[in-house]
Amino acid sequence: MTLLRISDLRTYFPTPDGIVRAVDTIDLSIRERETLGLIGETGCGKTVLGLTLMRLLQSSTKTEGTIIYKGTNLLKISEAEMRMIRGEEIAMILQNPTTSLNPVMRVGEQIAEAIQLHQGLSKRDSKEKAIEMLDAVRIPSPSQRANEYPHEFSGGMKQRVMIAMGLACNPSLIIADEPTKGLDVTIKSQIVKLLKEVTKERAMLIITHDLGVARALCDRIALMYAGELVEYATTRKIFEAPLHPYTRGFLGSLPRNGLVPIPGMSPSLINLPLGCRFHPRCANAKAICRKKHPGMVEIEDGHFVRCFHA
Amino acid sequence: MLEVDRLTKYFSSGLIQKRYLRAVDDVSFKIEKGRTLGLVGESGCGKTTIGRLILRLIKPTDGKVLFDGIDLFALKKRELRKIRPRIQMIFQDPDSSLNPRMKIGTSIAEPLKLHGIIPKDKRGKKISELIETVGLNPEHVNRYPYQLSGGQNQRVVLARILAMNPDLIIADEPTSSLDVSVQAQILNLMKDLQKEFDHTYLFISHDLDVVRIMADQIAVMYLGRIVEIGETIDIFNGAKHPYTHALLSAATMEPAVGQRKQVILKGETPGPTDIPAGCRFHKRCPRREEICMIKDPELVEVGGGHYVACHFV
Repeated sequence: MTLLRISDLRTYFPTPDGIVRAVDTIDLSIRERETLGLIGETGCGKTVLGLTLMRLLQSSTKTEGTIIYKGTNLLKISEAEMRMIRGEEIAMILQNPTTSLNPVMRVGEQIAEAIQLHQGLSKRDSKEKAIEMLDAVRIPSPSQRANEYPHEFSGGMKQRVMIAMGLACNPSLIIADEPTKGLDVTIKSQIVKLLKEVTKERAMLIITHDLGVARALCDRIALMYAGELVEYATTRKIFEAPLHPYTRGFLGSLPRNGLVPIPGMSPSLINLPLGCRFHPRCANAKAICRKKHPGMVEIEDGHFVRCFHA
Repeated sequence: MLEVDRLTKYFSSGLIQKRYLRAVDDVSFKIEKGRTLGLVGESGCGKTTIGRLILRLIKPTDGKVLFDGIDLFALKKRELRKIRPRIQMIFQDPDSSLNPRMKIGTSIAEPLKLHGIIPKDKRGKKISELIETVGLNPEHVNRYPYQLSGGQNQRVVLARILAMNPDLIIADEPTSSLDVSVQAQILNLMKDLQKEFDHTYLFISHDLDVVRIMADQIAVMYLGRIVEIGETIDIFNGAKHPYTHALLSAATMEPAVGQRKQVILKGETPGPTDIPAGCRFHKRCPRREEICMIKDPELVEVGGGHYVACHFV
């Protein structure tokens, strides 16, 4: 069953230099217990998409389209109603745990705060639950660690705390923004293993630029380029039969796949190229690519591509 | 070209009760001219400290570094200044490696001026040549670093380095702040430049995939010490140390060649102030036995230039 359906979602930031089209006409759905990977490079709009889903952007942002979560349009409900969704129904694990945790608050209290708020437990009970959560994310001696401050935790342990906070109110959907960024490789493996367990019981949207992590965790993958999706298919299809030139280029530029770079760089989201947004970097670009903007086409069952030549 | 012999660096802290942080402990390796050694390890393993020691940015506690037969640590200040242009370093973050208030062209001219390599009237021509070699456009000369992307700034850093005509380049995570498609551009450029100018690279990275492409030899470090060193192909196809296995399978999320299971290490690297007795890796090692807690294993040769520090090889 579909848990979240995003249709025609657009997030624009008006700036003195022009409109930044960070998220542009995105259609996407996440099924229950599904893990969806949102992949793209710096500045493609993937984090903004996550923040739009949580309605965490400032009020000057223009958001259009619909985000239907369990039958409710999240863009239409009041802030008070949204607050009940955040944490309890949809939780977000923000990137960079060091800056996301409150440095002057004990780790246990930070986790307990959300539990107390959403589940109406007493202070003592929610603290108890917070310790349980720390134990669930395999933090050794949790009752002692709950009384420590974030600076006493290593990077990997802080990431575990972030995951524990995300899980605290047992949400149906978790949005994890770059959950393995900045971690050492052996610690990264541990976090991926932990996330794999977490995704058994709930849906997750993983925002990452790390294809290895996406491959290990995701059922389906969506690739984002310059604010829009360019390809969307099962993880297997993306890795074994990618159709969009950007997907192919992205895979090919990995050291393991021969290190063939994509020439040029991503366009600015204020000044997007006419026609296909990828055409200035595309080796197969033809006349039509310069003039017309391609739509998302379902090439085969569940495999969507935005390219005239796919 | 470069010979590092029993290099050791302890940092001390505390006034009365001195505590020592063993950042680099008895590290030896050699790099031949025109080749690349990849130095791999996780944060805090001492790989960057080695780079800084070779450049003499910090003083070693013990050991020797021979560069082209010259003992770098024995050099006087003035002699060192003469050698410096021949050893250059690329840092992780290109944006902070460049002076934000200097135009790109001025930045590239700076080393030419300081070391008086090229007469003033020919500098302009040299700069345009360098700009072209690293794949930038002539118009970039008049821009500031903030107007360029991370990848372009790393090209500027490379142009500055080429200006010195160096023999040895120490690259410390040169692409870890870049996107993959741009990373590929920079790595390819570095490889092309190496071929053209016969550079010797010490390539410091945490990314085994990148090192595999760039390096002829690989040294794996853990807590200040080399635990395995050998030709790249031998490391990837026949790694012997359990820590190397873990790194390899962490990079691919699959088991290392010749291993049945993906190794996911328990726990975290202990801090370099409390290095465990015996083998430094024993606390996280899936194969640990009693001897590992007592005896520190030496690097043992297991085949043509392939050394491993483990009791079970």
